Amino acid sequence: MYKVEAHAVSVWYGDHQALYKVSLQLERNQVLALIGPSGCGKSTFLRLLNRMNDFIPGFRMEGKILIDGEDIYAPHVDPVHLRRRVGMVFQKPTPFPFSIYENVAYGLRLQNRLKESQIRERVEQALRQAALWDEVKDNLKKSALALSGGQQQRLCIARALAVRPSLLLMDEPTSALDPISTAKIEELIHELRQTYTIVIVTHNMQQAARISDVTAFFHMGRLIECSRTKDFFTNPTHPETLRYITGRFG
Amino acid sequence: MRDRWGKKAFQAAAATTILILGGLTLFLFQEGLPTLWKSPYEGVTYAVHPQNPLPHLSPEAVQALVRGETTWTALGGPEAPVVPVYLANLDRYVSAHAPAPLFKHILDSLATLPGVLFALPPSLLPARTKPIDVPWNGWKALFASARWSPTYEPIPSVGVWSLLIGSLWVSAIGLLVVVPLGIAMAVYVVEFLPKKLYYAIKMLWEVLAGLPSVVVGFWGLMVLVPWIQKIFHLEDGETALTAGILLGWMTLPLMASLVEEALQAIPPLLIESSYGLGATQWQTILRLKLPYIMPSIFTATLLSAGRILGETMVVLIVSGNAPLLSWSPLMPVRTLPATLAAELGEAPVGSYHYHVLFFLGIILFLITVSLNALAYVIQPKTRSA
Amino acid sequence: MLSSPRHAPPKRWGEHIATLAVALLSWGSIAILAGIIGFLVYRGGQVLSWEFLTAPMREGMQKGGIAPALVGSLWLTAVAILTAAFISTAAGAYLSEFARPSRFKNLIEFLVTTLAGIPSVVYGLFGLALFVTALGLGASILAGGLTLALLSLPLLIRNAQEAFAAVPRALKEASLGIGASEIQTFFRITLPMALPRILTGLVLASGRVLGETAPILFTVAAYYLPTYPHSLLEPTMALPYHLYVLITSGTNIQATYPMAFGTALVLLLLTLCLTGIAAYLRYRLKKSYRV
Ligand SMILES: Nc1ncnc2c1ncn2[C@@H]1O[C@H](COP(=O)(O)OP(=O)(O)OP(=O)(O)O)[C@@H](O)[C@H]1O
Ligand SMILES: [Mg+2]
Repeated sequence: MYKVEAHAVSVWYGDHQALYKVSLQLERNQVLALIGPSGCGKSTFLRLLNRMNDFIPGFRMEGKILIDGEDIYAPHVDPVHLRRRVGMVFQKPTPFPFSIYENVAYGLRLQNRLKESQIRERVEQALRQAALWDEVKDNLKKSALALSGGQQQRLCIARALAVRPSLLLMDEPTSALDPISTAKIEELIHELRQTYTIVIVTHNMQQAARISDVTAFFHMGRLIECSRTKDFFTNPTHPETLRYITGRFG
Repeated sequence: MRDRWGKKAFQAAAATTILILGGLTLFLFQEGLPTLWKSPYEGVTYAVHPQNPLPHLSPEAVQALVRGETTWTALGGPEAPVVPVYLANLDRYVSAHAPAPLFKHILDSLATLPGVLFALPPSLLPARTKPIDVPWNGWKALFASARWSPTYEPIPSVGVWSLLIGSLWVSAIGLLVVVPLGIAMAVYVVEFLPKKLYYAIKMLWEVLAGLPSVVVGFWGLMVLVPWIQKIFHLEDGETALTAGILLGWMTLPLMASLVEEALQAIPPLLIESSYGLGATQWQTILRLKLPYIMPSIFTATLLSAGRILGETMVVLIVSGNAPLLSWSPLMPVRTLPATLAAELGEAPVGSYHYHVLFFLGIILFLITVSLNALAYVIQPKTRSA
Repeated sequence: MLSSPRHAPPKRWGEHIATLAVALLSWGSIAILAGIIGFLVYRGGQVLSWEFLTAPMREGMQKGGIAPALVGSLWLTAVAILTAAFISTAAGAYLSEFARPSRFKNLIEFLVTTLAGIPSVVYGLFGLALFVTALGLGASILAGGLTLALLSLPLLIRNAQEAFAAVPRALKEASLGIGASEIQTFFRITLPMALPRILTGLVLASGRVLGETAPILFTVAAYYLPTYPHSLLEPTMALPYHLYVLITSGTNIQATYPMAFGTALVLLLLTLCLTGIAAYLRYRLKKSYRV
């Protein structure tokens, strides 16, 4: 069974159609990179997977999206519950103005009451997974706003991991970071793929090539090409893909 | 050149604010501070029977003697009934129209009573009396007493505590009403109100903020006061609670719009992060949004407190206006501004009463200015996130 | 797995109840406003008549009308707003257009906020000490009007400042670019563009000023003076103080209640009109700028 399947998904914002019959499949423990020019619908597609678009007035979709074989837009699905299984990391670090500890614990406190000792355990575990533990373990009570940008972004990853999602969505997670922090996050993604399935939007084609197993190229709301990353960059089948990756675009 | 002078004119207009605040402070203090050193019985000499052994009396003792709350004996004086003689009660002994010799004769015979206590201008004082010192301490009179009776003769009581506590009761109740209600309303407007109604409700806030307070007070007197009376089985519904509820309600537009502004200013990505972690709408409100805007809620509360403290007419009309120490919100109270409004019209310019009222004005001014200044200083600078 | 399988998502009753609660509280507070207006319209409407608006009071304020108080209030409002309009517009222009970020500017902005928080009764004290006593104006329309002007200055300055700031920078720069001086640009471009907002603020402020009681208690308001003022140096009756007198210190309070309801209604309608117009204008302006 695929981890994620999209079947002929179209999306509208009001009258504006943002996606045209997009279909793709992603296997468990793989990293899917979404690339394409600005405004082509990458974020729209990503946000479909945890129903974040539900908040946008005028949003409408057709088609089916299955996660673990289940239609996430079926009427009986609770989007809140879904989002606890599908974590998300944004373009800019979004630490809450609380302590580091409370940031990571935020998602845990939303769910069934865990004991404080359990929460502490899972906070530590998440921070370790996000490769941040060693840097912050001595001042967990410090405000998260005092961390550097790269640390903040890893904190946001830890925060998402703490609720133990099985699918992790990242929307240009390194675009606001310096090269060293970017490298750290890429390394982290590499680690995480052992346990998680990851969908990541990126504008940086080298990054897509470095970290992903599968790459999907969007253009004007259409999925132009989706294949193994190795093939994608060495042997694109579609002329538009070729034009894009060789930088002769637009 | 012309441009320079033009700009100077604009600058001068802006500088009027300095003049206003400066002038306001200057006049308030000029008229109010003398309370601390002026005595209310300047130009009056206290005197007793020559055989009275007491060297001096405290103002409180004089008051107690006049009120009949104590006796000379209790103070270590002669064993005789107290006979107070002062300007306001002279006509008890002699008519103001009596011929001068008769007038003098009656005063002289009063002076022979062992328990007599004169408080008269030196010109009227009979010769065979012993002047007695009644030292006045402005600080003590203002802050060591809770009795407010500023025109009482011969010595007024000007303890501010009953008024301060009255203001405190009303503000506390007002804040208890406005803070939760204002937050609830702001949350409702930001989270649940259909967009079409947004401007309508903002307009209603504006209207509410513009209601003349005397009209609100009148409605309170006609409607709320009887309700409170019935609900709590009181003799009189004019209480601190009544005033507090009305004031809280009147301050709603201020509180709600400040909180609303703060809620609208939360970075959307932060809100999405919360939803992305599987928070529900109310979890996001309670665990992210309200904690996030806590500094703004705090400043809004300070500003509301300042507004409630200074509101005059409503309190004057519905709070019962008794300058008593209240230990329950169901008792009538008198606040600082209500006292000013009620009494300043009757206080002759330059009288002790007048100065005391200005002193109350100073207290009110200092409290509200510090609340506002504090709110200004700690107001959350727009955070970047 | 993703959801509690195969039945509808949980209802989250707690959330619904919380939503209902804030909705009820909000509409409840608004309902009180409606209640006050309705109550006064109902009770005051029975008294309202042409005579009530145009005749002076008679028979210990139990009969007749409220014309002297009405006229007095209008005078006071006019004096206050006209005085404040010039100063506040100039000060607002300075803060928004001419002041470079400096200590002085910060100080003024701080003072405007501070002044806005000072209770109106304290302004009344100030008016009494300065205009009535020190300047020797006595209790007069001028003294009261100036006191009210001071009171409304902070609100008006802030309003003017926002009005000027809302004029698109591009227009100002275009004017400067063709060689107009800053002052010329201000009078020819910025001021005309900002005028609607400034006027809106003035209308709003007149609504507030009209309803103020505390500042006029000691500076102008006469308890009973059923004549019309001939000069600005005379005292006058005013609607809010008249209402206060009617409900608290009439000789026969029960008998003056009908008059009180009428006065309250007139005062309410006047302020409602003014604040209503201003609020409507303001939100229309806001919308038009947004698009
Ligand atoms: N909230 C919205 N309301 C209306 N239209 C939207 C909204 N969000 C996105 N769109 C439109 O949908 C299309 C796809 O947007 P999307 O954000 O998915 O692009 P993207 O590929 O993520 O671009 P970028 O690389 O700039 O992030 C765009 O044309 C955009 O204008
Ligand atoms: Mg995007």
